[in-house]
Amino acid sequence: MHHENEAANMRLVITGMGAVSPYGAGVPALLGALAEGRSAIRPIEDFDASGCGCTHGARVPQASLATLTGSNNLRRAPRGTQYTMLATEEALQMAGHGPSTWNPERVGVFLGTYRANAEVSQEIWHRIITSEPRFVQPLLFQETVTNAVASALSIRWGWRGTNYAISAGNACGFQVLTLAAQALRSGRADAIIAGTFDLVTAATHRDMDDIGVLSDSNVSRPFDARRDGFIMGEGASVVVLETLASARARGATPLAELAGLGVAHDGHGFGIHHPEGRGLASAMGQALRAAAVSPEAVDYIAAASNSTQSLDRAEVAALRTVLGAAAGTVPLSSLKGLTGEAESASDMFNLLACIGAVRGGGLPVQAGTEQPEFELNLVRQSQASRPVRAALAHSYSFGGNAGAALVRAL
Amino acid sequence: MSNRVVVTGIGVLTPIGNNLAEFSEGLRAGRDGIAPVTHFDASKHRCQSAGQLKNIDFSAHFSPEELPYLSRGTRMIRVAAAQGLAASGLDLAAEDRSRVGVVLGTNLGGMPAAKEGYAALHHPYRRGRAGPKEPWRALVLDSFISAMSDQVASQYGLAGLSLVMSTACSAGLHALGVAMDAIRSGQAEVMLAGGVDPLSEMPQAGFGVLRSLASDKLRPFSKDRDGTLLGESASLWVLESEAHATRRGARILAELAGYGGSTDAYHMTRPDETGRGPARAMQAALDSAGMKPEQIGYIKAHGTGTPANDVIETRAIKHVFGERTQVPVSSIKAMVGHSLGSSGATEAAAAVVALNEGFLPPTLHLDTPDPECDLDYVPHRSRPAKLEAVLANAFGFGGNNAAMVFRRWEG
Repeated sequence: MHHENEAANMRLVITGMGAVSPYGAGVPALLGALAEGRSAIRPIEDFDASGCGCTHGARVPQASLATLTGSNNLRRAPRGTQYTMLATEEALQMAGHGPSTWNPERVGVFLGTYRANAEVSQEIWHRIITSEPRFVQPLLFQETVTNAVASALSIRWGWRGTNYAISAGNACGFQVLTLAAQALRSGRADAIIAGTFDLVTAATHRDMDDIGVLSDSNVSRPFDARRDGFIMGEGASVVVLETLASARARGATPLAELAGLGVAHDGHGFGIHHPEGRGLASAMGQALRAAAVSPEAVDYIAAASNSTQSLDRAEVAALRTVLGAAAGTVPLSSLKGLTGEAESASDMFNLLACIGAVRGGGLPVQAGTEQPEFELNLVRQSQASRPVRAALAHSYSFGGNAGAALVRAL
Repeated sequence: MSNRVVVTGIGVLTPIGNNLAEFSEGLRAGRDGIAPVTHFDASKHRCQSAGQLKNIDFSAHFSPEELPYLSRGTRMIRVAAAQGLAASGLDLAAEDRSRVGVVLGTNLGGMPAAKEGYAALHHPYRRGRAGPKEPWRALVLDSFISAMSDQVASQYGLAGLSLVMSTACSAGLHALGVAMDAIRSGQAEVMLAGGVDPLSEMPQAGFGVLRSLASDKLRPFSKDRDGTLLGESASLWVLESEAHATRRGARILAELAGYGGSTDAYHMTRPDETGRGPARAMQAALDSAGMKPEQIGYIKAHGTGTPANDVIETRAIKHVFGERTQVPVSSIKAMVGHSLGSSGATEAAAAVVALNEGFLPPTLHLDTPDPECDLDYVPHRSRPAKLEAVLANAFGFGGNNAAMVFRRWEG
C-alpha cells in the first residue's frame, strides 16, 4: 500500500483541459475540426498582408469570443490574456474545480510562450518610434512582461504558489510540463495550471515572411515534397496537472495520464535543426523510457512538422532513429496542416489531440499533404474505431528546442 | 548519493565591473555605476540615466563576420558564458552534453534588436524590399527572449534542458532555482544558469511613465527614495552536483543550499503591502536549505529604491527573521541599477562574493533614515563580516517572488 501511494505520488495525470484555437473557444471545437480535417487557414483580413509573399493565416475568430470576453471583463485585456484565461476556465470546469478544491498556496501557474503579448510590445514600440517615450501607455507597458498572463491568472483565482513564465524558442510546451512535473513530484505543489499561448500580429507575420519561412503558395503541407514554408496560427491552451494521488484524494476523474516527458536541445547551431533531428530523438527517447513504453506500443503521434523543409526532414529522421520500422506504420498527423504553426500553442494542441485520441476520439486528419516525401502512415481519415492506448505529442522549435510527451489512457 | 548543488564558476558583466574580480572590487569600494545613457538617445525620456556597461568592446570577443548578426543581449551572455566556463575549468568536451542544459533569466533578451523591425512596419511593405543583408533582418531570430538560451546551447553544443525564465524582475533567481532543481532531481549533473538583460528604450519609457524611476539618485531604503534606475547586466553560473565537482577537483565557490518561490496574487504592478508573498518565498528557501533564519548572516535585498518595494521588503524580512532582527541587509542596485530579468542572478553573484571575500556590499546613497525601514542596511560603505550563509531576494511585476540561500563551502 505504501509503495502504491508512493508510485501514485510520482504518476502525473491531466484532470482538465481548455483551448482557444483558430476554431474559437473550447476543446470540442478544436478536436472536432481536426477529426473532420477542416482547415482554419484563411486569407488574412485584419491587417494588411498584401505586400507579403504569404498572405494567409489561421487566426482566432475574435468575434466568436465576444460573449465570453464580455461576461468576464476581459474585453480590454490583451488577446494573450483573454485566450489563456478562457482556456483556463474551461480546464478548471472540467477538472471539477471549486473555491475550496486546493490550498491556493500550493497551486502554481506555469505558462510558456514564444512571443508573449507581442501586439502590446508592437503598440509600445509604435509610440516610441512615432511619438515620444512619455506617451507610452503605462497600463499597456505592464502587459509586455512575459509573465503578465500568468500573473493575471494568479490574481483572478488567488493562486499563490510559484508562478513561472518561460520561453524556449517557438516550441516550449513540454518544457513547461517538465517544470510542472518537477514541482508536483517534489511535493512543492498540489496542482499546476500549465499552458502556452502565442499570437499572430502584423509585425510577427511580416518578420517571418521577411526571413522566408512562410509559404508563398499559401498552403501548409507537412511532409509534402512541395512544402515551401509554414502558415502562422495562434491560440492558447491550458491543462490542469496533478499527481494521480492528489487527483484520487479529491475524487477527480483524470482524463489521461502524462506518462512520460522528454526535453532536449539540438545543441547544433543557432536557428537551424540538427539534420538527424538529434534533439527530438533525444526527447522522444526520454518520454518513452520514462513511460516504459516500447515504440510498437505507440498508437498515434501528433507531429511537430510545419511544412518547412528542415523541420519536417529532421522530425522524420528522429522518428526513424527512435521508432525504427514502426516509424512507417504508426498513425501520425501534423495538425499544422489545419491550424497553421501556432508556435508554443501548437505544442499543447498536440497534447490535447493525444488526450482526445486515448479517450477514443477521432484522430486529427492530415490535411494539405498530397505528395508525401516520406514513408509515413499519415492519418487520411478519422480512425475512431481503432483504440489508441498510448499517444506521443511532439514539439520542435527552429531554435533547436525539442519536446515529447507520452499520453496514456488510465 | 549527494544531491548538493555547488557553483564552480561565475562570469559577470555589470556597470561596475566586467568580470567577477572587477565586480567584487566595485562592490567593496562602493562604486556608483550609474551614468547618463549613451547607448540610445535618451533625450526625450523622463529619466536619462542608468547603469550602462563600461569599457566593453564586443569586437574583441566576436569576429567581424559574426558581430552584426548578434543582438546586444546575445553578445553580453556569450561573453559572460565564456568567462564563467573558463573560471570553472570545466572541460565541456569531456562531458556528456546531452545532459548539460542552460537556464537564463531575462525580461527582454534580444528584443531591443526588434526596434528597427517595428519601425519598418510604418513603411509600405513588400517582402525583401530592403534586401536580405539589412542587419535587422538577420537579427529577427535573435530578437526574442529565448534566443538567449538557444544561443548558449548552440555555441557550446548543450543538448539538455534549455529555456529562459521570464518572470520580470525575479527571473534570474528563478533561473538559478530551476537549474538547481534539475541537478537535485538527478536530471542533470551540470547546468549553466544566470541572467541577461540589455538596456533598452522600452523599459526606460515604460518605467518612466509608471513613475517608477528616480529623479536623481537611486536611494534604497532611504526616506527620500523616489524610484529605481535601470541597468544592464549578464551573468553565467556553472552549477554542478557536489559529486561531479569534487570528482573533477573543481574549486567550489559556494553551495546553492535552498530555493523558494511564491506569488502575491494581488496586483499586476503593486506588491501586496503586507509582505507575506516575499516572506513565503524566503521561508521556502530556508526550508529547502534546512536552515533557520539565525543561520543567515546577510541578506542581499531586492531593494529597488521605489517607495513601495523597500518598506514591503523590510516587512517581509521581519515576518521571517523577527521584528528585532539584527541581520545586515543591503541593496547593490544603487551601484549597478536594476537589470530586470538579469538582476536576480547577477546580483546573487554579489552574495557569493560576500561569502567568499568576507565583506558586506554597501547600500549607497542611503542618506536619510526612514522610520519604516529600520534594519541594518550597511549604508555607504562596505563592512568586513565573516559569513556562513546568505540569502538573496528577487521580486517582480505580477507579485512574483523568489529567494535563494547560498552556503559557504568548506572544502
